[in-house]
Amino acid sequence: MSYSSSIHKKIYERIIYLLRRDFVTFVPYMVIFLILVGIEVAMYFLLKEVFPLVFEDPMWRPVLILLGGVYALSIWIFFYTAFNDYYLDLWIVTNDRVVDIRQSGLFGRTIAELDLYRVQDVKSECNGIFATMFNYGNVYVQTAGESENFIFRNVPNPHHIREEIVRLAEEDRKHHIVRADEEKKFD
Amino acid sequence: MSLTLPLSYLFIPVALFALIYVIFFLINLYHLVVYTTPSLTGFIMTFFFLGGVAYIIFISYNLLLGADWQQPLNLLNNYSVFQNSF
Repeated sequence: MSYSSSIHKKIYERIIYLLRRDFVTFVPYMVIFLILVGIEVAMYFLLKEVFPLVFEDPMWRPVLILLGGVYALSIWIFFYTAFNDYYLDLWIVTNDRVVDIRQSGLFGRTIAELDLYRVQDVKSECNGIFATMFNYGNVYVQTAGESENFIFRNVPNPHHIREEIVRLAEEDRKHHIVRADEEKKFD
Repeated sequence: MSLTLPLSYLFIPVALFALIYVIFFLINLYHLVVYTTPSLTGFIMTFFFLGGVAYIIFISYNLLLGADWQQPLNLLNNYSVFQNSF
């Protein structure tokens, strides 16, 4: 399925940005994964050093190998799920609206959208040493209504994205004003 | 009371784990296929993941070759290998 069909793109609509969290924000998951692999390797050498007979015992050897295999497979799927969680979080900016698609773990998915002409305030921020170094951060898109405000979390170039959303919102407002005037004339 | 089941009974929890594992993988794959456009990143990651799974299973299988699965599974009493080390 393409993004265009998943957001039911209108005829006049163009996708301007497809945003994901910056890849740097996935690095902690990679570090956790490597630590978990390190724990298994360390446990192997520790057992071999402290209990050298355990890997020669006809009962304990298969038990430990099976446990090791199950542990390795578990951390491997943890890594794959973390990647999916990262990869499936998506913000789509078109010339008409903003679509927020969020994956929460394995079983939670939220999709929300906001018309650009309703955008009142856009704020961007880069907080922290890594965010400043790698130029990623949050973009807050706010509307006048009581509806939910959007947060683009840890997206690359947040200040540029803010400027672009402000520009697109302005263009969309003009488009809506022109259309409203035309409708009045016909009435 | 001691447990004296054969070692092969360990395959029951391992099979259960494998079943849950396959379900988790299929859900992940479903999300990737349904909610994104087919992409090289998703394909490479899935290929890499499956390669890793095959590698872990291959290593475990090779290490387990020659194991006597009729050995009594006596986890509660067979801890002499831990005592003798000290």
